[in-house]
Amino acid sequence: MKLRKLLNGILALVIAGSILLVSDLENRKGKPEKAASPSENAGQHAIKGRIYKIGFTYFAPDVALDMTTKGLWEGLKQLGFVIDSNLLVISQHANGEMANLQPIHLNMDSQDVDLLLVTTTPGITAALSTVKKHPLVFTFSYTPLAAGAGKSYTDHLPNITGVGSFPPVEKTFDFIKDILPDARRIGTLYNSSEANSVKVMEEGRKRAKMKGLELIENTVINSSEVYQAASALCMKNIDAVWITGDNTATQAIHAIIKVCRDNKMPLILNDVDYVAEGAMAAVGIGWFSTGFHTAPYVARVLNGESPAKIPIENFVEEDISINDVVAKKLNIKIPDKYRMGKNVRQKPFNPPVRIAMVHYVFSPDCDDVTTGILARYKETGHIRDKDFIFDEYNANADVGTLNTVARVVADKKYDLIFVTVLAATQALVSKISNVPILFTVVADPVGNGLGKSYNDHKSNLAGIDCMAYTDEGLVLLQKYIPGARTLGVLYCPGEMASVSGLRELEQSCKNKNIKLIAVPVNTVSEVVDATTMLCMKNIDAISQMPDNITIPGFSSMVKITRKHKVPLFCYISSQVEMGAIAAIAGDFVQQGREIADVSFEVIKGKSPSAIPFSRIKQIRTVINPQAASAYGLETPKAVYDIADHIVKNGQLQKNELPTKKIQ
Amino acid sequence: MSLLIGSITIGLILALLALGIFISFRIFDFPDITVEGSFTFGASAGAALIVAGVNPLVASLVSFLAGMAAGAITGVIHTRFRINPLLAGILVMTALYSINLHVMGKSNIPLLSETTVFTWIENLSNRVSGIDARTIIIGWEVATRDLWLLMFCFLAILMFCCILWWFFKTNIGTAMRATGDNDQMIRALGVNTKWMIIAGIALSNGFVALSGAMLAQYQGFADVQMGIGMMVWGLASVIIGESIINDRSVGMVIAGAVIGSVLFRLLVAIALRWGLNPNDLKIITAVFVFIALILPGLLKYRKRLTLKRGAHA
Repeated sequence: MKLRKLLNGILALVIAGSILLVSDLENRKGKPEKAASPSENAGQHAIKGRIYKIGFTYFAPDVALDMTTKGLWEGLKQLGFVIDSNLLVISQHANGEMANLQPIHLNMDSQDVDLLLVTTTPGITAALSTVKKHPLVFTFSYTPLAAGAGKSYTDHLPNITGVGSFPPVEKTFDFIKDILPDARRIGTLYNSSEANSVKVMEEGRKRAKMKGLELIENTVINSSEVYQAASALCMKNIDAVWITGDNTATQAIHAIIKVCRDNKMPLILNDVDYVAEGAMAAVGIGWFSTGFHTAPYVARVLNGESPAKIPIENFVEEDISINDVVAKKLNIKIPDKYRMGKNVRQKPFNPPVRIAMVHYVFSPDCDDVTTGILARYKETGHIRDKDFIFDEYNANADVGTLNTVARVVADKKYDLIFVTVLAATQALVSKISNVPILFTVVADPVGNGLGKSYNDHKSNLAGIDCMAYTDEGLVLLQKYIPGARTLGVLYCPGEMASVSGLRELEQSCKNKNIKLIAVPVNTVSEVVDATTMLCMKNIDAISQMPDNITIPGFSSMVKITRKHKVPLFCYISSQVEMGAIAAIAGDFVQQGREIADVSFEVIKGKSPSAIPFSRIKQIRTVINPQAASAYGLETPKAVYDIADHIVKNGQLQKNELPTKKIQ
Repeated sequence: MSLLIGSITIGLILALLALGIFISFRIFDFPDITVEGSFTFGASAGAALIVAGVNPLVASLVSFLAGMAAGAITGVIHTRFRINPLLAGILVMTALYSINLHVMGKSNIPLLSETTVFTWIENLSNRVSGIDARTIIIGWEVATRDLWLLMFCFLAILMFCCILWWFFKTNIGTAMRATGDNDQMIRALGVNTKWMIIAGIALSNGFVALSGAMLAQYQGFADVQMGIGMMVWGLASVIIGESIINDRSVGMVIAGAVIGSVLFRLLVAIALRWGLNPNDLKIITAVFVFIALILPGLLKYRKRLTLKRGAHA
C-alpha cells in the first residue's frame, strides 16, 4: 500500500519529466546531421592528419597587430586549422628596428615551414628581397603595392598574395572637420623610410588640400625621436594631430599621447586599438576583421595553391572610435552622427540570430539595459523576430530559478546571451562555455572572478562594467561647490556593484583630499532614514552612485536633501530628471546600446576572448539648473558650456549652446 | 534532456532545504523563517572556507554546523525568552544578513576557479569517461559529467534521507516527533521539550545551510541575496510532496519532501522552457503547483464516481 503511494509521487515526477522532454524534442539527436555542403572553397579547409607550419614575422609587438593575429587565428580555427594542434607557428620580430627586418626574414626562409606570413609594409619589402624558398602571405599592411608586391592587385609577383588595408584618409579629414570646424592646420608625424607612410601622406596631402586643410609634417627615423618630434610639432601652431599607422610612430604611441595631452591637442589616429590608451579618436581599421579576412588566403596557400593565382585584396572594415573622457577634457563636442560609431544598417542576419536576455531581478537599471539593446538593434535596421529572436528570462530574484534559467538557456542553444548582474553572469558562466555571454550591470568583473584581467578572461565572455566615472563626477561637483571638503553617499553592502562603486568613489575622494561619509542601506524603506541621517552629518554634498536600493528610493532622497539643503549629485541622467543637480552620466540604456554593438562583432564571428572587458564609453554631462536653485546653488557658466543635456521642467533636452572654441 | 537532468539535480540539492523545513514545519509545527538567513549562511561559510583553501567536504560540514548554530539560537530565543516562533526566526534571519556579509567580507564570492565537491565529481567523470565525454540517452545527447553530478546528488540525498529516517526512529527522534505532536504528553514522560525544540530547529537549519553550501558549489558562487524566497519554496515542496504521497508516516513524508522539491523544480523548468513572458513566471508556477496539489484529489473523486456508477448498474 505504502509502495503504491510512493509510486504516485514517482508517477508525478515522470509526468513532469516527460512534459519537459516533449518540449525539448527539437534537440533530439535522432535527426541525421546536416550533410556538409560541398563548398566551392574546398581548398580552404584543413586536411585531416596533416600538420601545417607557418613562419610569422612582424615589426614589433603591438596592440593592433595582436588584434589582427587574433582575428586570423580565429578565422583559421573555423577552417579547421587549430594552433598548437595541427598548425604550428614559428614567430620572430624585428624589435622595432627596420635594420632587423632583412635578417629575420633570411632566417625564416631557412626554416622548414609551409608558408611565411609577413606583416607591415616594410616587412613585405624585406621579405620580397630575401625569401626565396617559401610562398608569402601578407596582412596588416597599408600599401602592399608600394612595398613592391606587384603592379596591381591581380598582376603581382608570383610568390606573394594577401590582404592590404589602406586607411580611410578622406574619412579621417571629414571627421576632423566635423569635430573641429575651425581647424586649419593638422600636424602629423611619420617615418619617411616607410613606404606605407609615404603613400598615405601622398594621399593625405591631396585630400587635405581638397578639404581646405593644411598638413604640417614632421619626420622621424626611429621611435626614440618621436617624443621630441611630437613636442616640436605641437609648437607649430597646429589645431590637431593626426597619426596614421606608421610603424615607427605607433611604437612610441604613448609618447605622442602624452605630448598631446600636455599640449591639450586632439589626437586622431587610424588605429582604433589605441583609443582606449588615451588618444581622442580614431577613424580606423578594425584589424580583427582584417585578420579574419586573411584566414582563407593563408589556408589556400597552406594547402598548396600558388599565390600567383590568388589576387591581392584591399579590405577595410571602417571603425570610428571616440574616447569620450579625452574629448570632454578638451571640451570637444562630438556630433551625433559619430555617436555610437557608424550608424549604418548592419547586414541582415540570415538565418535569424537567436538571443537570450537573462536577468536575475526586475529592476529599473536592468530594464534600461534591455531597452538600450533593443533600441540599438532597431537603429541598425534589425527587425525583431525576423532578423533576431529575443527571448527574455528573469529569475524573479530566486536563486533556484536562476539555476534553472541557466539550464534552460544552455539547453535551448542560443547563438548569443546577454546577461545583467553579477550573480546571473556567474550562474551562466559556470554552466555554459560554448555560447558567447555578454554582461552588463556588473561592477568590477575582474575582482569578482570573471577574468584574470580586462584583456585576459574566459573565452566566451565579454562585457561592459557599470563603474561610474567618479573622478569626472567630483570635478563637476567641485565646479558647483569649489570648497567641498566632506561628501556623503548611501551604499548597499549586500550588492557587489554598490560596494565596488563605493571603493572607486573613496579612491577618487582620497585623490582630491575629500572626506567621504558612507552610510549603508539594505532595503528601500531604509533610504529615508539613512538620507536624513546623512544630511545631519554636516556634509557639503551627496555624490550618489546608482544601485538597486537607491535607484528605486531616489525620489525620497531628493525630497529629504532639499529639505536639508544638501546638494545631491548622481551618475545617471534619469536621476537628474528626478531632481538631482547634475551628473556625469553613464546611463544603463547607453550600456545596453554599447553591449549591442559588441554583440554585432560577436555575431560577425569575432570571439569574445578578443574583446576586452570595458567601461562604458559614452558619458554625458547632464545638468538641472532648476534643481540647483532649489538647493540654493547657482549653475556656473562653465558648466553650462560643457553640458550635453539640460533638464528643464523635468524634461531632458539637448544643450544647444555653441561649443566653447578651443584655444 | 540536459535541462531535465539539470533540474532534477537542482531539485535534489534543494531537497536538503525541503528536509530542513520538513523538520521544523511538520515535526515541530514551527514556522521557521531563520531558513532564509541560514541558507545563505551555509553558502557563505562554505564559500569563504573553500576560497581559504579548506577541503570542500570539510567546508560543507562546517556549513552544516554553522546552520545548526543559527537554528539553535532561534530555538533558544523562542524557548528561553518565550518569543513567538515567527519573530524569533525574523530576528535571527535579520542578524544573519550582517553576519553573512562579514563571513564573506563582501556580498558575493565567486567559486568558478575553486575546487568544490562538484569539480571533484567532474574530474572523476573526466577520468573515467574521458574529457568532455557525451552520452546519448534515448536520442538526446547529454554531457556525461552532468549524469555523474546527478548520480552523486541522488546518492547523497538518499543517504541523508536514510539517516534522517533512522534518526526519527531512535528514542530521541521519537521524543522529538512527540514534542511536536503532543508536548504535554511527552513532558509528562519526563522529556525536556525546550531542549527538544532547540535541537530540532538546529538540525533543521543544519540541513538548510548544507543545502545552501551545496548550491553555492554547484552554481559557482555564493551571494548574500540567495536566501530570499527560499522559505516559501521549501514549504511549497514539502506540501506538494505530502499531498501527492498522502501518507503521514515518517519515511513517506521524507520521501515526499524530496519528490516535492524535485517536482517543483521540474514545474519551474517547464514554465521556463515554454518561453513564457518572464513577468508571468510566478503566476504560471503558482498555477502548476495548484494543479499538482488538486490532481490526486480529482483522480480519487473520479474513481469514486466510477465505483458509484458501477454499484448502480
